[in-house]
Amino acid sequence: MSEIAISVKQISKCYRCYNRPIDRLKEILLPGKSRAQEFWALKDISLEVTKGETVGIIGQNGSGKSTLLQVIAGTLTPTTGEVYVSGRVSALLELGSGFNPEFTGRQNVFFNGQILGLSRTEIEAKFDEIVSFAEIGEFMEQPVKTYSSGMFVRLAFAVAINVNPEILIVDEALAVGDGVFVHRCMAKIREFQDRGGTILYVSHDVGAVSRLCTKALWMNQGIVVDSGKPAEVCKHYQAWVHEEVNKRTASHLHNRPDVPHSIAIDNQNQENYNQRNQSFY
Amino acid sequence: MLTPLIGLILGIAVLLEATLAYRGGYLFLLPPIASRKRSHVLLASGKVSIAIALMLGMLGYFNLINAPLLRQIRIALIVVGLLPIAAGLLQGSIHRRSVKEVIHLVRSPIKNLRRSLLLKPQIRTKLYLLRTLVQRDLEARYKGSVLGNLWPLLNQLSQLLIYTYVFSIVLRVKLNLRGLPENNSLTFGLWLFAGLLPWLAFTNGLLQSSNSVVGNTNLVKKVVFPLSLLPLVPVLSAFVESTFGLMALIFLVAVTTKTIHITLWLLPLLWLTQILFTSGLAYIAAGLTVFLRDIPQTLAVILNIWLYLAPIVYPETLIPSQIRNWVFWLNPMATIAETYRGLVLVGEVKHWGEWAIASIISAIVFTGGFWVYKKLRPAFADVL
Repeated sequence: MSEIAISVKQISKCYRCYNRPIDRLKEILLPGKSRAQEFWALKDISLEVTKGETVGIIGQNGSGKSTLLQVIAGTLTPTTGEVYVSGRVSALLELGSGFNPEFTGRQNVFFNGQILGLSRTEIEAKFDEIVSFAEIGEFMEQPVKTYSSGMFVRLAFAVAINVNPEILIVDEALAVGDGVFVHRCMAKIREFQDRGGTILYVSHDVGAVSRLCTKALWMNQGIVVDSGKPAEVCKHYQAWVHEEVNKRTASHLHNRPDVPHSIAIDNQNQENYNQRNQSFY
Repeated sequence: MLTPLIGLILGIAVLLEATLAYRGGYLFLLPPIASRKRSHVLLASGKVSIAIALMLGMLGYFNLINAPLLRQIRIALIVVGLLPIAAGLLQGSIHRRSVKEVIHLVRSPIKNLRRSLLLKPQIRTKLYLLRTLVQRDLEARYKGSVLGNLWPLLNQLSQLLIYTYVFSIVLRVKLNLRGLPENNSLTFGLWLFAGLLPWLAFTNGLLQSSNSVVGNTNLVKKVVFPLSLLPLVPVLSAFVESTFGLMALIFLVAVTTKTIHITLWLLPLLWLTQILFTSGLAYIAAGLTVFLRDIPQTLAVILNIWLYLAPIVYPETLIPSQIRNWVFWLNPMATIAETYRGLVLVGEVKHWGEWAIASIISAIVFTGGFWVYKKLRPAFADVL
């Protein structure tokens, strides 16, 4: 039986908004009536990821993807439910996460490695691999605050993947890398998959998700709307996006009918539209 | 007096170990005593009983109980404590494997000496990370400055000079200390310095650690990081900086009196009390600052007042005798400062009892502070 790498049972995450900061403190230390407005970012999510799987998560902004990843990585505490993770987790949660801007690239690599649980000798052994993958050259000895966003993500990804984690979590961070880097990342990710590692991949790049992942999840407003084979889930998602855009364009066009558009609108206005804008066809 | 104090500290240590073992985690890999199973009541109660027996020695020092009676009570407690432990062990509550491990440990001492430093690997990684963090903190503070590591020493020396001038020369506070030249400004300076050192370590550590969590947002939100280490880092770096001053002080005392007091060996015990107290308050301050950003400023004001509530810049004879004991009992920093002076300058400890009470208060403050921090920790990522 294949082992379970990540198991998430009935996770919910509620963000409470308070009028004054002291209300939050009172609520934590003195149990009683809640004085907050609640926003549920995750609603009763259950998920099981076996070892070696690559799970892609797609969805709108604000659907809870990053929150779910943070809960799994352990930086966020869920309001209900339990998370079980087996193995070392390497997480790229946001650009430059874990980097202290004042210290050099080299010092940050060592620091991140230690946070991930490696000893100094282990990091030194891997240091050359990390440097050669990151390809930032002399800037390794410069403070990280001087880096461009591309260099950030190159170094972060180099550290994350070269420490041999069992689970890799990537949260939309690769969007910043250039074409060459993304290509190298994908090659490295495939290597990681071949070694049997587990990956949680969040992206807006539907193509990458369908190419890379063995399973996909579509999240919307805190719940998992669809899950299954990447190709199908991506198709459903894209169809939904298409419809949403149509809906918004349609209502938009009701107010400004003289604006030309190439997206289909509802049949009622189709005739008027064609007549008025024949010159554009 | 040494024996009751060591008994007290050992008692607290056994109590902590019993609590940890009872709750399922254990700090020291002593298999026969720490059962791997959670909630083994017999072992825990036995250990608690022995811990109480150890701590009762303090009562004898204070002459609160008749000495022979106390001895009988303590022996009874130890026997009563050993019974449940024996019963627990005999019940097979330890895995047979752990007995083999003990034999293995005993047989190969050299190879296992590292491991038999008896700390769980996770704890060892955390300690290593803590050490790295403190080193980085110390580096970062004086990075780019010319004088670098000398700054904390210069800072302390300048404060020392100012206070010496104000109190000794301007206000003419008189001081008599055994072994040192009488009524000398230098004596006053050394006496003041010895008292100021722990105070400055305390103040700096506390103020900086109140900002430690809010200043490290990315470590809270973006990375899986053992957050319980964050408030400890400034406390320990301030402490390390004060040891520079301490070395200078010991050197100066050795030069003036041409003796090095044997009581210097007791310094680590004092450091333990000081660090526990400071860390406990640091945990509370760091945790609360996330929610109430006023706390660092409030702390600065409180600490300014607190300085004058302890006989640090004035001798204890200035405090009216009715409240003198209470000052020492309620203000652990007063005790710590006075004990520093006694240990380093004179070579005696005048306030054993107060030191014991200070250690108890420090242990309580530490546990309380850590508990508050743990309760507040899940909410950090929501607020920052």
